[in-house]
Amino acid sequence: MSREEHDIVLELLPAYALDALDEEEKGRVERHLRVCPRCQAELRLLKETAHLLAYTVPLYDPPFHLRERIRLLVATGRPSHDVSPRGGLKGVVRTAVWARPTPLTALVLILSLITLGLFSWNIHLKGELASLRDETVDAHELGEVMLEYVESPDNYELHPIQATDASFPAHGIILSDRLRRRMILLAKGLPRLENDEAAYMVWIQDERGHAIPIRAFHCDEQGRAVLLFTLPKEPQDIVEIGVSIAQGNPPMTPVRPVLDGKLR
Amino acid sequence: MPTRDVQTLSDQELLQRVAQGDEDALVALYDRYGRLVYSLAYKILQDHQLAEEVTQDVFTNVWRAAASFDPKKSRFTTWLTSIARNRAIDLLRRRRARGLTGGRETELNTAITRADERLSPEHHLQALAVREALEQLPPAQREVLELAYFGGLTQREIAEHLGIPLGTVKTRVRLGMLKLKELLSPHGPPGNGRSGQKETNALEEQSKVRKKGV
Repeated sequence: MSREEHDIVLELLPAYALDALDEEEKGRVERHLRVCPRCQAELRLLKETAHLLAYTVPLYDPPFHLRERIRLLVATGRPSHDVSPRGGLKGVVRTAVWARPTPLTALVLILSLITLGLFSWNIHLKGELASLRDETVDAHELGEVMLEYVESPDNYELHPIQATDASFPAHGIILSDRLRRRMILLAKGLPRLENDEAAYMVWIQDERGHAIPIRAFHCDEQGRAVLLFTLPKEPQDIVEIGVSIAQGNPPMTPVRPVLDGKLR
Repeated sequence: MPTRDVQTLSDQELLQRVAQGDEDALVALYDRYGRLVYSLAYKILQDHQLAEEVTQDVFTNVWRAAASFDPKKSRFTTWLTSIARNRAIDLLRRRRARGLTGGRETELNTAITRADERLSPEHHLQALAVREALEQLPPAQREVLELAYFGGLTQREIAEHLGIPLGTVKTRVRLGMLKLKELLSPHGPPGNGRSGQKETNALEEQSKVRKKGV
């Protein structure tokens, strides 16, 4: 380790701590760090300084369901009966086989539903569920996904979802982005919420049978909803998807399933 | 294992419990830092969906890697924010490569926001100290630090973005970081307020002269 090399690396360390070096400079710093305890100590202080910048960001509350979803995700090997829809998704899923929509009909359906969704953007939220305001679909984000779907349909999959009960005409479609773990749920004909029912909740079920809550939402007065959400798992690990009506605040207690569909 | 309320445990104690598979300890860490992680990811990505994805990944990562965390090498908050920042920047760079990034805030937040009222006292003090230190840096130095940390740009990319020489960017990054480190060190800076800024400006000028002379 030469003195000259040490001095050069010492000058590069602040930028290295910020992850702002080119690959070549980064390699040079890392080679020197292996043999220089003094630079290692300096880097530790610089990294602590750099990451203090995180404290300057304006603060936003994460969506309320994220806390519970993280808890469920880490509960490996533990059945999540406490929050699963009654009896899990299995048992409420119909096994009827839907004809797979052609890309053209699917696109027409999606665009029609999005048009309806755009007009009904201002979803009615109950006062006690004010925290759900962030769940409103971002039109720009939705449009971006739709454009990508049109441009690169091979990166997406379409899955129909249907009512779990013939007494209401609910149906919809799931557009799954295989690369970025995103999904769009388009639904119509959702049954009205009863007095003690708080919201609709999207659930997924993985191959081990764990049901994981994804997102609570409301529909408009005609029972229509457009929802964009990020999956906690890779789409190929998800077996089924469903929508239940849930109680509670936050609405985590499922009381009746309304939509379901198989993703495989 | 003692059954103390997890909320009263230190970060390190919580992390030890997480390493032993205690989900409540992870949730307690989420309650403590979830908002910070989510907000940092949102600041970088300007997208609530992606910020949610990053936050989820960060805490599941903490769950998996808790046993490997070494408090001798790093503070927990440094480790946590570095995971969050790195994950968010990875996503940002991928989106940038696909031409998907939109407008982005370009100013460091040095104002005290109403949301800060919900911070823990320690977090609140930390935020105040960092903002106060940042205000003592020349705006040009703040700008390059912001572009590197929140924008994920290298010094070369910053130079292209701002249309200034690479050497100027390197000087600003180095002096800005060193000054910030000095201001935020436990022993405190030799000066404060406007004098701190004057010192930093003088340092930058000296450095320019030295570089020209080399």
